[in-house]
Amino acid sequence: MRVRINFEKTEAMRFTGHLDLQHAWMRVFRRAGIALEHSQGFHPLPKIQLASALPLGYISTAEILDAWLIESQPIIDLVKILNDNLPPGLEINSIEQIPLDAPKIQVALKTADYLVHLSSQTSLQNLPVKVAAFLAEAEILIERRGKRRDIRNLVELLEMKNSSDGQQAIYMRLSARESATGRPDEILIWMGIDPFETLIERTTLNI
Amino acid sequence: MQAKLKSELSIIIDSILPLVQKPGRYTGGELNSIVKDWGSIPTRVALAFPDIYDLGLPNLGLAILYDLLNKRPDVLAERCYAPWLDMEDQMIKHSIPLFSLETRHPLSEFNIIGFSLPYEMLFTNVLNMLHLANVPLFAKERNDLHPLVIAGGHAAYNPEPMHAFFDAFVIGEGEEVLLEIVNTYQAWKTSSMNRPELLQNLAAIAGVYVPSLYHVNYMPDGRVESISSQHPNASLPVTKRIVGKLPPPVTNLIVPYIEIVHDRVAIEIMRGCTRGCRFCHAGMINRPVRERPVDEIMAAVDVALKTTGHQEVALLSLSSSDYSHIQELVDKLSERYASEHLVISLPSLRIESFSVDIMDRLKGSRLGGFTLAPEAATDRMREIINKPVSTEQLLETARAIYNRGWTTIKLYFMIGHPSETMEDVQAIIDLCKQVHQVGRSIVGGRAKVHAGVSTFVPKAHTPFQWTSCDDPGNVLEKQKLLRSGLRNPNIKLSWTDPKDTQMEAWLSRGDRRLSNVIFDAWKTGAKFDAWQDQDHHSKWLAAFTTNGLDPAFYALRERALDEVLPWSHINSGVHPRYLQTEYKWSRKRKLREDCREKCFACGIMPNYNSLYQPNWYCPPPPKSSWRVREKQHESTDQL
Repeated sequence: MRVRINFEKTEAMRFTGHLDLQHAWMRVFRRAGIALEHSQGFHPLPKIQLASALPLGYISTAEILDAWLIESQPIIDLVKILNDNLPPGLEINSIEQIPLDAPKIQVALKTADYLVHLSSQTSLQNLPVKVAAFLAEAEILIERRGKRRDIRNLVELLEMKNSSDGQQAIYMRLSARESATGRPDEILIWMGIDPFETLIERTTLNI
Repeated sequence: MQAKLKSELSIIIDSILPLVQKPGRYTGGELNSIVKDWGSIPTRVALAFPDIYDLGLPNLGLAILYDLLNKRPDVLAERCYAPWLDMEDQMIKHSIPLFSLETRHPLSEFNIIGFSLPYEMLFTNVLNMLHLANVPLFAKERNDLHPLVIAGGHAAYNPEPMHAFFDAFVIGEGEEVLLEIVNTYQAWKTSSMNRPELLQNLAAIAGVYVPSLYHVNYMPDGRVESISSQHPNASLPVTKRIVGKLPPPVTNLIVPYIEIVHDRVAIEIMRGCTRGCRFCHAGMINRPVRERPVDEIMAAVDVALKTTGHQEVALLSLSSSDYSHIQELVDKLSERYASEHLVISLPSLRIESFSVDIMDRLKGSRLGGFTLAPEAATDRMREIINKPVSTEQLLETARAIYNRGWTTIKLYFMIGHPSETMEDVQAIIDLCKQVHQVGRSIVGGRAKVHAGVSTFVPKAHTPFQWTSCDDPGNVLEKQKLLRSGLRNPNIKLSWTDPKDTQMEAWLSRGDRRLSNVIFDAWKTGAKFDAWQDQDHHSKWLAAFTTNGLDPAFYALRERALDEVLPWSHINSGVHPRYLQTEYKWSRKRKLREDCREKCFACGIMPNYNSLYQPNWYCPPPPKSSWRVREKQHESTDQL
């Protein structure tokens, strides 16, 4: 049985990296007593896949994990037993069964939506201008790990938005394909905003 | 107001976490951590580990005390680890005091701060943490409003170098005595007594050493002349505490958010060791040997796996093969968890093919290699250190290991044992090559040997407490020989920096005068001394000079058997006369048998007669004869 789990990653869990998050999920399944399929070979590993690495420090209300269970069981039971065994900072939004041969989640992923919560130190005055200026560019080349990259074509949407607490925030939809991943912090830096003065929330992974 | 301040501190902490490496070290809130209501609990204890989170979290001693303290409704225990350098910088920059992980309260607001002192290289970190906590470093500068600062652990068996910084030390096992300390603290808190009276009351607890209640006289040459008690409650000697019966293992172990050194369930299956290796501190101070029943271990493993979700269980002891039901335990575990991909690790196995059978039964990964600790490579040296493992036996075990599918064998040796010659070191080279040859003949070019060659440091309360540490010049020569002798791509050699060895040697057998040296070394920047990338050797040498002391006096001096050793007011349970006999025997290359079958009267039974349990390895003697011996000890124990 293959299930797709949509979950939130918040609180202290925001400082848990991609690999450690995988380990955290493996422990959730072990605590819950739900046996996972394992890879073949000398060093068998539980079969779970995370859709997309979330940079350290970001929170997310919409992460996706695929897991291959040895025994089928009703989704409703699964939600309960996993919920009972989550560590602080992980929460399940939904679980659905998906076909065993559905495409790999990392491949199916197209874009990711982010909401950038601004701190009181950030000046809001010029923000709409900066957003417009970014969108007006045809190409924005920056250096990422020694390579020149165009970050403009990784941005599908960029706009000002009110967050749920009524504060001004920046909303962006970025490419999340395996070969072309947009990073919110690079866009913020281009606009002259220190990413460390913001709280970045991933709100949707679009498949 | 108080609550508002707290939240402000918490907000500042949150704001700096994205700026440091591995912020998961400082968040708290991990699964199975215990957060109690700060406001409603009278006694608050901070359990501090003077190294980073990654190393401190797996420490089983602290986990035991955390569990015991938090089980009491009138006590809360929270954790604190040494912040790494980047975090320290941020904390200083933003005026953040050292805080606990559970509720982010400054350490200075706790009633008791208890440090774990597993080894000497962490001493400067203790000072650094007290400084970051805004707690006066010197015990004598603390008043009624400051926390009580105490310590325990293996390095506390010679408390003298750190005597100036702690109000009290726990000598021995903390399970019972820490609760007694809390009781005494609570009684004091609700009384009108002052801090010196608290310390006097603490000194009355068996196993608690209050250094300010003792006076040390020195001879002109720097040796200790006498140690005297300054208060009726300050007993001479202070005898270590043990628990007669080990309490059930802790099962609700904290699960970190980030990967740490050991992501596993650790269950202590046995405490102590009967082997009597003469260099081994742990083997001498953890007597008597006490085992846990198989059923208790099985039950604990089961619960701990369910509460943590870990995939690995480590069965801890000083010598796993000596656990008398090891075969039964391993069989039951591998049967019970056959289908669950559980990794069971069993450190400290003896060099014999039985160990290979056991590891084979566990069907664990062969990737990590198989570890053996021969410690020495010539029969002469093996007799001196009392670890008689013949070359033949080692090679036979190696053959069994390579035959069962392992390709890497890790061999632990020590250089610098008393009277070691270059021939003894050359024998280590030859033995590594022989083991590698065995591997080649079985698994061909994949055969690998990792030789970990550390340098021996004489420790207090061991038969080698009188001997000199090997001269750093000699050690360098020996390491040079090892490097040139083991130039083989399939034999990996690692060794200890002689500067680190020297530092450990000064502190291990230091006296009270070293407190100022430690202070000056820290003051000039020494911390994280155990870390290879932190070289503070010159600061330490300067600190010795400042205080008019010679490091060689501590590290490179052979002590006379009648010298008053700086820790002679601490009774580890093993009688000094027994240690002396062992020392003399080592010079005669005379072996001491494993004491499991036969009692050699090391002193444990007369000291702990009343706690005797049938599961000790000590043979139960007729009680009357022990009473007689007890009396004899009383009359000879006077200092």
